[in-house]
Amino acid sequence: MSNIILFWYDLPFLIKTFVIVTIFCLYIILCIQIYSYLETLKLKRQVKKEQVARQKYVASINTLINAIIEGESCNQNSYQEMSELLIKNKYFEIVFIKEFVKSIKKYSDPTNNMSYVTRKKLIDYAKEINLYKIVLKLENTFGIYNTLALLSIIRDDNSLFFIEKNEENFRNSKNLYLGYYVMLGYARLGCLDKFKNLFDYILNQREISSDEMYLGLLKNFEGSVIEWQSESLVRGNLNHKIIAIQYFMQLGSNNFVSFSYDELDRLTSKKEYVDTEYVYFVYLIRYLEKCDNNYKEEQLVDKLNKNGKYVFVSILESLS
Amino acid sequence: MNLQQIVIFFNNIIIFYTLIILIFFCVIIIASSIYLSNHKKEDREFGVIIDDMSEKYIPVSILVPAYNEGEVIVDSVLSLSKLQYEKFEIILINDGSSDDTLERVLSYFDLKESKRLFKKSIKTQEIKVIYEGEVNGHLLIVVDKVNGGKSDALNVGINLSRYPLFIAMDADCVLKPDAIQKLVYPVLVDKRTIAVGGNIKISNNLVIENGEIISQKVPKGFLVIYQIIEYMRVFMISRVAWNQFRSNLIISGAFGLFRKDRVIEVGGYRTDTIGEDMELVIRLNLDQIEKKREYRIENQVDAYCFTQVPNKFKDFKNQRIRWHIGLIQSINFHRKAIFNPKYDRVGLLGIVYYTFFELFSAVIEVFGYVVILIALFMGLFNSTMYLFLFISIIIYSFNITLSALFLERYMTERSSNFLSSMKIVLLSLFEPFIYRQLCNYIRIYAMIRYKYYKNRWNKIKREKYNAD
Repeated sequence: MSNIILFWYDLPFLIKTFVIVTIFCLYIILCIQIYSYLETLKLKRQVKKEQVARQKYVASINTLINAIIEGESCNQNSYQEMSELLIKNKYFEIVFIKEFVKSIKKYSDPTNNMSYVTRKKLIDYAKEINLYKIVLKLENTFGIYNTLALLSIIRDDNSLFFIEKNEENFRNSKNLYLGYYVMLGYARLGCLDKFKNLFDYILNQREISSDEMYLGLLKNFEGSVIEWQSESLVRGNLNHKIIAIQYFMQLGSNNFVSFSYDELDRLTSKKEYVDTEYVYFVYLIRYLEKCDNNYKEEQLVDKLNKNGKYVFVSILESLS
Repeated sequence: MNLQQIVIFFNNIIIFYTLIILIFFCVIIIASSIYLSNHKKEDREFGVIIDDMSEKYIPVSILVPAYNEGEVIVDSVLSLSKLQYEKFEIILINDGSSDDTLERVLSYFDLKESKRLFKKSIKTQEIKVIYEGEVNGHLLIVVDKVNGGKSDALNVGINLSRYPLFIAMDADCVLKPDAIQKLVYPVLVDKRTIAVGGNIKISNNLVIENGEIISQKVPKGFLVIYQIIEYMRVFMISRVAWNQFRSNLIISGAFGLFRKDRVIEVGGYRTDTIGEDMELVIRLNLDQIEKKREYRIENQVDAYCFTQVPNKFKDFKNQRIRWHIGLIQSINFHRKAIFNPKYDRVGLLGIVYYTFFELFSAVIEVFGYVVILIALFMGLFNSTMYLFLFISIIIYSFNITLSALFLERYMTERSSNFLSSMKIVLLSLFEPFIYRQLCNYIRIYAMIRYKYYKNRWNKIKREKYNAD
């Protein structure tokens, strides 16, 4: 031992520094390796526990769900057991929530009346057992996006405060992914004013976003947005018009055929254009192709050629 | 100062340089671990478990420049068409191939000549013809053009693309089904994000059928295994650490996503360099700083892209020469930023690192060996010092590989084959003495023969995916 100490003492300062720093760094690296290894094991254990819970309870959960759908009175014992497990067993809660919302999603076709009735039964049951509270309790497990998605599917008005809190977070962070889930929450809860407000806010920024995102949200709105979209198409800015015309095209509504022709005339009589106006032109044409049986491309091409609007003629040719 | 003092001085410089590198390795492992730990938490939240509303993603254009990729092109396009992403278009740019790349694509897919209108935002070589069709519900555009190099082909793709984001990738790459979702996510979450790099994994000995990865075997051959070690370290540790330092200077040309408007603003890819991927990212960095814009360039560790690496020394050498020449050109074009505080972390950290620890590292290391030899001949060889250095380098090399393996397991929650992992970790002990010296030799060779190689692409030979 004394030899080692003497040996160390005799080493030049630079080498001593080198050794100390190296050992310290290696120690840190070792801690990181141990941490990542232990975390990996912990995550694996969590996944396994969830799998075990799933195997154990999924059949009885599905029985309960079917009973709700059929309108049968549940076995009182199994109902009691489920309620106790919902309070005590975290993995049961996770499996229950996942299975429950999966069944709600199965009945999400808004045009099918039977779907609507079935979905309503499930949503009413979820409200009865305050399922939203359990979802909020598990926010750290699910994460913020999943929590918002789950709350939007469960459609409990009591969870509105949580969605509003996240709207504020979105406006501070401009995280579009978060903004999307907040909008989805408002859409499925049918909060038109809040939905419109946020929808316009994001649409007007429109730096990087997708038309499909807005159309998907409109489709998911629990209620009618036709009046609002009609207003947007007639009086809104270009971004609003582009979304609205696509919305009515998807609906197959021919209420705006003459309006579209007027818009085409207005657009093609301008002297200068921005890129978005070409996009709007394309969607007007697509709308007319789908919703106007009397639409004739050749007539429009002749008119554009006469007015010297060759760029629009080229666009029409590339579309066909 | 006599020769003895000079030798001792340079001995100390070597220790100091090595110490800096070792401390830096430690710092990047810490930085990458912190980043990955936070990312892991997000990752468990992302990929929403219940809601399948895929409209929330932004449509992307996938640009695939192809030159003599006849062996793999059809598999590649099929694989792309099956990706789990709602809306994207594939733009395949045939850059004047001399083989049957174009013929294979035209015969396999149902394509017709197109009158697609586009804005020539970036000047490019002549386009001969554009074809359009559909594959698995996604638009496929095939452009046949005069040969102009990868940069020119990508610029053509940018001009033709209709979506706000584009992905530049190599024709021989195969993506994991959720790769695009993972790559787009940082752009959705932070609107300042202008570019995202993927995680490149090695596809040698990958079994692929109808564009889907069936299985992966551990490849044989030291060269490929050392490249696996290298890629793992780079993509799990080094590139991720640069995310933390906000000084990402490279996004792999094999798989990277960019905001189209920002790339057009800087003039697209430069056609007078063979390191177009790194050069563009440096230029984007500097441009955003000059315009005083807040921006982010990230590397996304779980957006997986599988690519072939050379398994023959000649191909490996050509590839590494090209990379090093590309590095020289990129640093040279933007040398004004080195140590320039105007360019913030990029100038004071990122570009300094790439200059002194990547560009000149081979020269410094070889110089170090020369000093050691002189010290030996002069009887000034400090065996204690070099023993410590030697042991430290081996231990560090081993630990970096082990850390990369642990972090990969942590991120993917997937156990890799124990024997394969042991093979990789044990071989990493010899990495500083075998593989690193091989790379040093190639880098110095590239620097000496810079003028000869500066415009040569030197393609590596592609193999079909299910080759043993």
